[in-house]
Amino acid sequence: METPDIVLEALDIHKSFGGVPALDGCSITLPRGSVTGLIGPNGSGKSTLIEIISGLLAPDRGTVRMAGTNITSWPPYRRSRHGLARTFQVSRLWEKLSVAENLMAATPSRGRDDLWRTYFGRRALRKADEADRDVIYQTLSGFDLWRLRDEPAGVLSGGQARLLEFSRIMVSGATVALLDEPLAGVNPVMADSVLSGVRQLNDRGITLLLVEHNLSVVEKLCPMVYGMETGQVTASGSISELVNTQFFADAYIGRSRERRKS
Amino acid sequence: MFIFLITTLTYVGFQGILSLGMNLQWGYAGILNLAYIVSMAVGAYVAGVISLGKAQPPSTFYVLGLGLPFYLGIIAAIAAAGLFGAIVGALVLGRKIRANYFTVATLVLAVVLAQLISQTTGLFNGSEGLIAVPQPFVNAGLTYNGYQASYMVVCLILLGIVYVICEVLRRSGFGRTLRTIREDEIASQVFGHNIFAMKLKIFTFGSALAGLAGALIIFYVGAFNPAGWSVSETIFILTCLFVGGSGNNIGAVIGTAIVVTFFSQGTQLIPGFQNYPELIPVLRNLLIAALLLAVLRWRPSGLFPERIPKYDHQPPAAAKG
Amino acid sequence: MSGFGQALGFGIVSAALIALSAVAMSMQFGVTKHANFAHGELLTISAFTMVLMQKVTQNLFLDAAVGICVSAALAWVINKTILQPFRRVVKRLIIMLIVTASVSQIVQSLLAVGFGTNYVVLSVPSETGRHIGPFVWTTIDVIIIVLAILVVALLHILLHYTSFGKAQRAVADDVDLARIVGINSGAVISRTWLLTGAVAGLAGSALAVTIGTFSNLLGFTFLLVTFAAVIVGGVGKMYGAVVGSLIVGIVTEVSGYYLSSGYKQVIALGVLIVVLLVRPNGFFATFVADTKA
Ligand SMILES: Nc1ncnc2c1ncn2[C@@H]1O[C@H](COP(=O)(O)OP(=O)(O)OP(=O)(O)O)[C@@H](O)[C@H]1O
Ligand SMILES: [Mg+2]
Repeated sequence: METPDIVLEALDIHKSFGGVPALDGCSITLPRGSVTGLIGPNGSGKSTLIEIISGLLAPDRGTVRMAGTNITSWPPYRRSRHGLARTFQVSRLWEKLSVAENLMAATPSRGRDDLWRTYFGRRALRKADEADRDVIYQTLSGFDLWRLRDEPAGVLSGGQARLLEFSRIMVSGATVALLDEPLAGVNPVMADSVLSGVRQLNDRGITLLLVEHNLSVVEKLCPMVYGMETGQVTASGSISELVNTQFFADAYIGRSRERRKS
Repeated sequence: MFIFLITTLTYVGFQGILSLGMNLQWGYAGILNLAYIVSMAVGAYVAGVISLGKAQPPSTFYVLGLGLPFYLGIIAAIAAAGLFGAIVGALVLGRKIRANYFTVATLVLAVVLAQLISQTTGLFNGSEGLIAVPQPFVNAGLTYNGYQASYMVVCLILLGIVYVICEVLRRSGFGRTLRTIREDEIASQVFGHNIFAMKLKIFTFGSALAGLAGALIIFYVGAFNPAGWSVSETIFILTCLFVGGSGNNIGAVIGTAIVVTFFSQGTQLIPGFQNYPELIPVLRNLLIAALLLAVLRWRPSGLFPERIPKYDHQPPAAAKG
Repeated sequence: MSGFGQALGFGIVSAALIALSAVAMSMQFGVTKHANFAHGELLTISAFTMVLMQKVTQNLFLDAAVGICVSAALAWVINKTILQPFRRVVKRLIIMLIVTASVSQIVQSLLAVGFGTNYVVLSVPSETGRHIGPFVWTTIDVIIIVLAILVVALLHILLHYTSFGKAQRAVADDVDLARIVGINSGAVISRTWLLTGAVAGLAGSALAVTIGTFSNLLGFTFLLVTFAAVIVGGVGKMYGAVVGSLIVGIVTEVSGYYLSSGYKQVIALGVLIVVLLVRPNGFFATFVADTKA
């Protein structure tokens, strides 16, 4: 049997906060080039899983592998250099840096984080800057942010902020990106351009994990979806397959019934 | 008046270097280090004991006393202060210590080290401090005024060099990464920056600059003791930086010039009260702290706010259209 | 051995003093989320008020009561006139540290303008210690220990069984959530400062009575051991602060028995650094999450 090429997998992840489990043996795999959905009610542990995959939180138990390499104990910056990128549920831009600088700081360092070369290898660093110019220009104009290049990132609207986050991922040279509710904080008018941004990322060959509450969005973008409940993956498959499962009954229908009661 | 001007400008020289060093830590990387002045003290003491002759018990007690020329003292001061910064940084910058705790730890460190140095007589002569540190070229045949003026020129030239060094850093990719750490260090990590290493480097760098200033101060004054590096001196430097505009090097220098001239040197022109000589320095501290609060409240980005660099790329399409 | 017992006895008294200061700071730090570098000045102002009040009455309890009121008032006023307006405009919490550091300098300088930078004297009836078990304590020592225990017990009741306590914990957990459920967080924070000032004032009076002569730097110096205790215990946890105070108080006094007493502060720093390295969020950090869930 031929197994699909796995870019990222998280296996049997456990994490508890002060004795209360947030993740309880959770596993997901992302096949190369896919857009995989991750759905589940509030507090089911989706964001926690992303924190652990990106290395901002250490799991109590479990393994994270990227293209076969065990990266569980790697610090976040090392994972990033290995091709992992992410966005946050609430956008995290460098607000007092300009839009263009936000991209320059997200490109691979190529010696720019080296104090010695800052003074004694300036020509090489200037070349590195030159080399990034084209991709920065193309990315910014692709997301209609070029005209805002000299504005501080703090002035962007919610939707523009998301697009800038996507731009950072594009120029970072990532192969996998974890998107935590990219539509959160976005004005509905901008929702379509944010979604097309998600598609653009995928068209560039970036494998995506997409956390999203809106099921019709997930259905459109993700052929394969994981359903999470209380720290565990309890269902997987396409949305149309998930609709008939117990997961759906528990997580969505059950909850809405409860809500109606209260 | 001539001497007042010379003295003021000399102080602008030292303090300007101190402000630029703190700007590296606070203005670029957002690290609030209340032990900053200790790095200056390390530089001053090390420069002192390197250039002083052997200690003469029972009147003075200190280590080394090598009697070496002043330039070796300056180099040793920079190295020692840098090393001090690296050790402090390695201890408390990493881990997951929150910014709050980090700053608390540096404050505790500053106060405790001052007590330790005061009480350990054998190290740097305790609370008496180092005295009679030989001034470089003092016997070269210059008049008093001529010597003071030359010292001022040297300090200002060094300030200029440090300014250029800091400005190159600010415009570089390194400086940009530091600013991402200041703005959001989580995002910075997620985009491949080793923030601990970056912070440690800039912490060491800033600390070494403070060491240089310390050496210049001890060679100018000829003496140095624990009263010269209390926490209020760090507040003074912060005030200079905030008045000028943190993150902006030219702002740091101009802010220093303003605060030193009007609030520090200026208060010395006020005639002292005979029965209460400490009143002036006390009022100075009061004024400085009040000024800092006022600036933070009404003009937090200072007289010269940090500028966002323009992106100087003309795309082919824009050139055509 | 009896020397050690004595040192341990001093350690307990010093722990009681630190605890008074530390529970106040820990509560405030937990609610406002930023350290207060002017905390020491709350202690100092109470001690100086006692010195002034001695011109009116020799009754130390009355003097202390006035000192406590002044300190509480100062904390409240600082919050109302400086901290609250800043909190509205400041985005980065770390700026609040600079603000409180400036406030600390201002109060210190004002005291120096009023009283000079030399030592002032609070006259306390001299008294020789009595043996109580292995310890040698004066009446004042015993009163301070009892007061510390009482204050901790009262704060426990206040924070766990009153509506103010519940509101305060809600604000400490999550200001926005507290606001959504209709808690007036401004008022809660204001009252927290009042309470912090009062307890810190009590610590200041107790400290003044214990040492008798002090300068305008009294509280600033004491700030260090307070920080050490609060961080060792983990911010926002009253019992953590108490345990932290016991550790810091006893370790510094007992080590002072072996080393020159001038190095006490250095030992406190040592404890703090070790804790920051081993448990960056204090030894009792996990307890929060437990109680939260
Ligand atoms: N740092 C933390 N400390 C304590 N508990 C936490 C922490 N982070 C998350 N939790 C808890 O872990 C559980 C999972 O939270 P998580 O944010 O991962 O959920 P989520 O699926 O992303 O929810 P949402 O859809 O609301 O974003 C929640 O009960 C949350 O309270
Ligand atoms: Mg989430």
